[in-house]
Amino acid sequence: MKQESDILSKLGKDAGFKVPENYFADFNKKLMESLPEPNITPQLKPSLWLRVRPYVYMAAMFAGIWCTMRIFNDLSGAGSAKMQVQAIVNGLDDEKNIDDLMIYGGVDKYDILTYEDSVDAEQSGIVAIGSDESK
Amino acid sequence: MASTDTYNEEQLIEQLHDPKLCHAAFAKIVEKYSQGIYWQIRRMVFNHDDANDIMQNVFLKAWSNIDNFRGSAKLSTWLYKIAINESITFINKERARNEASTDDDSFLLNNIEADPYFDGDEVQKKLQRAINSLPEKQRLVFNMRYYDEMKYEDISEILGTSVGALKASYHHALKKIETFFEDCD
Repeated sequence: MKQESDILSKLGKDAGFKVPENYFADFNKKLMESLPEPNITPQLKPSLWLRVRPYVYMAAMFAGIWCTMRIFNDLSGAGSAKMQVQAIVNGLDDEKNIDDLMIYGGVDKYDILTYEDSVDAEQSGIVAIGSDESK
Repeated sequence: MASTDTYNEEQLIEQLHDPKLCHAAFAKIVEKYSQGIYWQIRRMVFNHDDANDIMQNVFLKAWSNIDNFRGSAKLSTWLYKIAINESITFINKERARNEASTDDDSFLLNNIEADPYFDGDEVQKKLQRAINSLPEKQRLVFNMRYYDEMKYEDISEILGTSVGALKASYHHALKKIETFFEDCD
């Protein structure tokens, strides 16, 4: 290389620096003797809990979501069930619906009479029990 | 051969993190790198006693920070970085003590005269004066390339400078040294 000029090629790589005899061997020995206790943090193996913890958290999260949805469904389901019962009660009160049931629902007069008789019997029974008690 | 070296270094790094084996592993590292590190420091600070103290600090610092070394860089790169930082810290302290300006490191050359472990002739002293007149970065690049014959890629890793910039630095350093000799003649 032209850049490594005449001056440097004349001088060579010896800079004139020296070290005491056996310097490096002595240095290494002294250094190793003077080292303090190692500052090493032993790498701990993760415990079983640490390893399964993410999965447990994930399962708990899904269970929470499922419970929330279940509760929400039950609440809204209960409300609609009440409304359905009320609609049936209202429907039965209306005679037109009774006619519709007879025409489209396969319910005949005998079924309705049987139903009405059973209701009357129950009502008279309640009254009788009530009258006995009043006596 | 290179793969064997790599394997050994990996093994050494593993052993460094084992409390039972770390002492023996570190002894191997000191044995392998102490000479290279010493000459790097010595060419920066010139005086043997100063170089000895700095090298001791370098290895003590490396030992106390073993836990943080995870092998992302080569061991040699890591140690040379510590050595250069320690040398620069020393020079800055000496500069402050001598009330010298940031671009004047001539006080370091006084160490050569007083050093019993320097037996260079006048021309060698002149070369050291020429090197000492270079800016800090150029001086480092020149020493690593000219004396240690390090690859530009390795110097680049240690100094965190691109290979192109290092080549330019080395070229400028050579020119300045030539000019220094021409001016003195």
